[in-house]
Amino acid sequence: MLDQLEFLLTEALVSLRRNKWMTFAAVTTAAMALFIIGGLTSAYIGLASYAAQVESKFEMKVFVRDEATPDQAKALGERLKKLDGIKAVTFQSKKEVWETFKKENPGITAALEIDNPMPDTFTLTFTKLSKADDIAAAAKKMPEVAPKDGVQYQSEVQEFLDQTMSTIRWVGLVLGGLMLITGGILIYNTVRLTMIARRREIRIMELVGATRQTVWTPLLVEGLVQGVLGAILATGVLWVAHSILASLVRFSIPAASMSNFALGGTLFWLILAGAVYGVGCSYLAIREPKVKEIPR
Amino acid sequence: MPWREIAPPIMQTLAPYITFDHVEVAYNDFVSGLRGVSFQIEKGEFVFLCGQTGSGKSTIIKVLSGQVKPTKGRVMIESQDVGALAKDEIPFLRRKMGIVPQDFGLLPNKKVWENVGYAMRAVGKSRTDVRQEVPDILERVNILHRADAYPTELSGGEQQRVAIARALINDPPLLLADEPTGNLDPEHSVEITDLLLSLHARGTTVIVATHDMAVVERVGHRILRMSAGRIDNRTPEEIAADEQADHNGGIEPNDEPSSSSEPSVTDSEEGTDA
Ligand SMILES: Nc1ncnc2c1ncn2[C@@H]1O[C@H](COP(=O)(O)OP(=O)(O)OP(=O)(O)O)[C@@H](O)[C@H]1O
Ligand SMILES: [Mg+2]
Repeated sequence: MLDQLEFLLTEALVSLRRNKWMTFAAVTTAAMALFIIGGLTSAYIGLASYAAQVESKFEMKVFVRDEATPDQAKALGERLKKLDGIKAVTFQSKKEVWETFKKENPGITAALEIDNPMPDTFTLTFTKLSKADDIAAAAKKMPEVAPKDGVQYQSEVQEFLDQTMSTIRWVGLVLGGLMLITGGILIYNTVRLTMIARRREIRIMELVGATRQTVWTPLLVEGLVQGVLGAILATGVLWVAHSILASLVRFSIPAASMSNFALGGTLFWLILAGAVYGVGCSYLAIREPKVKEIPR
Repeated sequence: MPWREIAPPIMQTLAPYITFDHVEVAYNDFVSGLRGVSFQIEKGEFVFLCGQTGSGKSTIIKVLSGQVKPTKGRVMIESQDVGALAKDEIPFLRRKMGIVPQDFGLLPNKKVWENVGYAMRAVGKSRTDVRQEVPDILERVNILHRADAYPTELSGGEQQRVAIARALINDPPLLLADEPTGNLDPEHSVEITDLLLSLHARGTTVIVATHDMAVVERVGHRILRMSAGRIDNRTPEEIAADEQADHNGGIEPNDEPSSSSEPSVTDSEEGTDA
């Protein structure tokens, strides 16, 4: 049993070595496909969970114009409360907002000795989400509200997320699909090449009564190895890309943070995908009509 | 198909070893390999398949080994219907026969013993089996002294012996050899024929496709003469007479009932009978 396994694996290994450049091309393309698909999938998953979070605590921020007096601010609060569909209005002064922000982001603000850039802020929650648009429009018209971006309307964030996510979906589908097809053709070709290179061996195997599994296994293993190598490569590249992206984000958008890279999970899923993909491609190659036999 | 294996022993002794029952093989709409062949071979026989090029000798071997399915008729080996075997069963059919292809089919990058060992590994034998059995098998075909040579370093006759050695790995009761002396000079032909005869003497049923009449005459065993996909039952005298008639004006022999309905291509092939 073990002995037989060793025979089959040796056969596969010999072929992989013989086709090493073809294997290289197939592995890199498979890696690219898996990188694109894996990267976009994890971005998509990240955004989707963020979007869900946002929705669950849907709220609107109304920033008070800098020049407004406390009385004016108070009056604004009263008027906001009277708008249809409002559940609650809470007020945070400039100072409170700034303190909260400093508490939440100690690393960034500790070093900076700057003036408080935050405005007085009302946080609105809703009884009816569908009223959000009307309320935003009404709030924007009020004179005490900051003229530029005075209403931070989370459904805009939502919309932006939705758009980004559908873009990712499309880019992922098209780019990943193209790469998958290219990589598939390459793996298919490698296996076909092997079948041509090994047609003598395959013929002898069949002649002496080797089972189909014996003839097929090395070819399937060859596809499998290519798919899995591609997956490992893709995971590595993803990891590097993630850490570069994460440090970029950290430097440019202080408040934002990216989730950590799930190395184990990514590796697992990509290897699984790569294995299925590689075996699938070589299965297609094997099922094709026989390579022409050497004339007898 | 286990039930076939445990068929009553009385059946096995009564039924011939190999039966061709009106076997036809159509390679495609225009090309026939066999056009209705019936014969029986008993266990332990030595049979020559003779005939012109294209007469269907290789096709018979391919049908027997499950490489080609009969379009019509039935092929039985013991009580197994070869034409009805599923794809998965054919490897096990082949383990009960040794097949020697016309071109030897040796792997050029493997040594003699590796060629035999590789085939053994392919049918699931272990490395220990290979170590133990390969020398015996090579000894049986008298090539053990060249075990470490590569096929290109061997003479044609020696290569043929390696191919026969490889056919023996499953210790088969049946040996199918397609033109085993086709590429050999007379001296090596004798050597290979003697080897096949010695295997026959040990109880193996041997079927040899050949157009080497010198070998056939020397051995003098049963001959199945093929002609355009049929068994040709004429005696050598009749054939000679027909040929004479051919040369004298191309008159078709009367005892070939359907020859006029065959495509003219095969008819003209018959005309060139040597
Ligand atoms: N794979 C194939 N596809 C189509 N036609 C074939 C095939 N193999 C054989 N034939 C045809 O079937 C007929 C019988 O061929 P076969 O190989 O059995 O002849 P043969 O007696 O072995 O000849 P030879 O002495 O040249 O080996 C020939 O007309 C041949 O052209
Ligand atoms: Mg032939």
